[in-house]
Amino acid sequence: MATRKASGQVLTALAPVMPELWGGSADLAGSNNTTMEGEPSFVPDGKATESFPGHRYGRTLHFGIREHAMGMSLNGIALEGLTRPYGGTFLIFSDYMRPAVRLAALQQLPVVYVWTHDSIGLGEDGPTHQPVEHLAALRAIPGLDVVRPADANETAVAWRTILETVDHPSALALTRQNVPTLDRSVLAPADGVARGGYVLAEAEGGDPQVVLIGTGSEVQLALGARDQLQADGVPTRVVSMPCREWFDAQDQSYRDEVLPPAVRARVSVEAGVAQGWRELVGDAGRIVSLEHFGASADFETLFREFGLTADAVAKSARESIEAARGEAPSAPGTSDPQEPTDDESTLGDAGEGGTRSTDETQK
Amino acid sequence: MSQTAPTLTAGRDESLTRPIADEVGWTDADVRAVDTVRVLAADAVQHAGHGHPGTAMSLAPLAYLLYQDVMVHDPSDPHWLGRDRFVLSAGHSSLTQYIQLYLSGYGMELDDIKALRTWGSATPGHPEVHHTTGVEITTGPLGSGLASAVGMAMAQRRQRGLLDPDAAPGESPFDHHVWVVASDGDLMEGVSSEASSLAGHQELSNLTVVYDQNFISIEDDTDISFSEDVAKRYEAYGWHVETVDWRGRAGDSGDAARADDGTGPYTEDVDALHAALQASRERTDRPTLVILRTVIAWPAPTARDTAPRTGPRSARTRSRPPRSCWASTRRPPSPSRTRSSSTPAPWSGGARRRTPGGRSATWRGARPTPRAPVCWTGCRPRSCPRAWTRPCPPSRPTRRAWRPARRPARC
Ligand SMILES: Cc1ncc(C[n+]2csc(CCOP(=O)(O)OP(=O)(O)O)c2C)c(N)n1
Ligand SMILES: [Mg+2]
Repeated sequence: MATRKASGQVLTALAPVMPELWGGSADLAGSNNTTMEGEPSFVPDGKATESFPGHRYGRTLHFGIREHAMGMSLNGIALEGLTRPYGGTFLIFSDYMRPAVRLAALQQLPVVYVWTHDSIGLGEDGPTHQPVEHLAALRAIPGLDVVRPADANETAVAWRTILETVDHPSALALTRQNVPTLDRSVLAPADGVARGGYVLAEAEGGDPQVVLIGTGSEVQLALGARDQLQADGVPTRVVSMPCREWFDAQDQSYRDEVLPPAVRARVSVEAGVAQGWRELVGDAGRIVSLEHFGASADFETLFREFGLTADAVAKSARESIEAARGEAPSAPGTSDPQEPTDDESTLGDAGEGGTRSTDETQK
Repeated sequence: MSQTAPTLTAGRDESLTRPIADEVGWTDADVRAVDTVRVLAADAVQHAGHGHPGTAMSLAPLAYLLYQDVMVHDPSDPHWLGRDRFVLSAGHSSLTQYIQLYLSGYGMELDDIKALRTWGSATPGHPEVHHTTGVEITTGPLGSGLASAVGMAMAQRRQRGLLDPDAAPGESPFDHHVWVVASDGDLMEGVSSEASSLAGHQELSNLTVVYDQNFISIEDDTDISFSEDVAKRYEAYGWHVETVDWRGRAGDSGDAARADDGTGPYTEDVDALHAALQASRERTDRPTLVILRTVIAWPAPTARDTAPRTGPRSARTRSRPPRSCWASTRRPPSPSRTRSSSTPAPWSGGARRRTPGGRSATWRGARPTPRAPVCWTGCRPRSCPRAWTRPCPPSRPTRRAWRPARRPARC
């Protein structure tokens, strides 16, 4: 199940118990799953529609295609003080909201952003709609929690933890594509989400030789890599790290428990830029990331072509193990975000001859 | 109207009003071509299993009119400096542009359209500049295209002033026009308001925005979030505003079936649109907004006037056109049958260079202003002339400013 869908189910379940919670979307209600099922829209009487019945005291907000105004309005709602607002759009359009998000953080407002379609995983809509640097850019805003759950259960705990946060804004980064709902009978319970990062799968057959850290839809890649490494006899731990800020807020002993200082072989995997991950993976670590813009194609193709795979994570893990032993150079830039190959989209390069260009004059 | 090939529209559904395009001189071949555009748009999305077909269908006459009868451009020389610029601010309707690039001979082929939204194709989900020949700007984030077009219009004026200020109006190779196709979302976004305000202030008469007012966005009927009088807003910005209403009894809002105010069936008055566009080109004192009222996905029976949802199911059930182009036995004449890729389509006004081939050469020889050659050789290849450093003497460091403080500052 896509985490955006799980989020919609959580909201619908919360509707009767949290009357103070209300929100909506900037014209993407169906895509963002921001409508609490059956709740009336907040709209003057003459302006309700067939799709969205409602009235002036309704609950579902319709901001239209106006993300910046949505962000500022959410701040105003929060400043009024009696209700909890949330607003949704595609994660890419957090860019259109950024000044408002920063002001929410500055004013310590408990606004919730429901940002879906959170990576190249959105697929065919292509690079104009695919976040790449956004998670890093949002994490750079002081006082904003950026939460990227891995599956439906993590999404539920994420919402719970966010709603318990009453003195600053939080952002959910949710998938468009389906992700597996992890089997908690063999993996750790999703409650660990509240601590920002937790050991999802413990190393077997000895102390962990390597720790794989994933967020959101890439946690499954870390688990896939772990299967390969364990099969080769490499005890491998997987850490799910949905929220860096919550993890940072834990005390040192918990953080050391999750990321033992003695284990210097570490790999992070996230479908976005590497920026910010070096501090968690350390000198010997490897970062599986995406250092260029995306492309228009189905998401499986994109993950494969851009080297965001379980294989890539396993390969990086082996490199990191060697580096930690001092047998390989430590701390290269990022490990595996491969240079785009010739037929790959790199809009960043386009001006100098877009590698994927069909435009002859640009070659 | 000259009926060059009367059989070309023989199979057209008689319940569909024929576009009114007498003054602009459309023949059966043009009507057929526009119908083919609609079918191609629907089929491309059907084939891909996702995408937005509806707007490309209803805007087929507009897009065809722009590329064939209005814009000054040369598909055989897509980077010709004198070309008009086309900005599809409603980038989600990328097919609106891709299909015109196909019809007017930009090298886009049917297979490219079949490859819509797939890895490595020339037809990504949203148009991408430097990627697809003929695409001037990357769009998709709503509002961005319209707002950037304001910059294009400003640049046109500045460039003309630098390179050819003495030419009579319309006579310079640098007299081009900027054409924008925008949607409800573009007009809702704040950035378009800011940019349009600036454009009005700057009296950018070389800018025409066609606003496709179809009263539909992703959350269906725009009544839920958008109800201001856009025409009055743009008038207040200092724009010339004209409304061309094709909706007939669909009226101001709501779906085509609901309202019946007796104003008649949906009618694509291409002549009225053409007149508005041509007048906007002639205007010299202000930018123009043409509000074109359409019904999205016209004339697909089940999709028209419904929200442009994506996804295979919606593409199949909601946007199925009356007939299919490459999947059906009743195949309309494919443009490739009537044109070879090296020559423009017979109905193509494609190569409409207002300034004949030699004009810019003439300009180069006869009109260099003192500043022009520097700009020409310096700016155009995006490099600096060798001498650029000369006027920039090195500055001496301000010693005090960066000397380390002796004591930690106190406050
Ligand atoms: C800034 C921004 N926000 C959201 C979207 C997502 N989106 C794509 S199309 C669309 C709305 C479509 O409605 P409209 O603009 O009226 O175009 P139409 O469907 O009528 O062609 C939205 C919200 C976007 N492309 N850009
Ligand atoms: Mg619309």
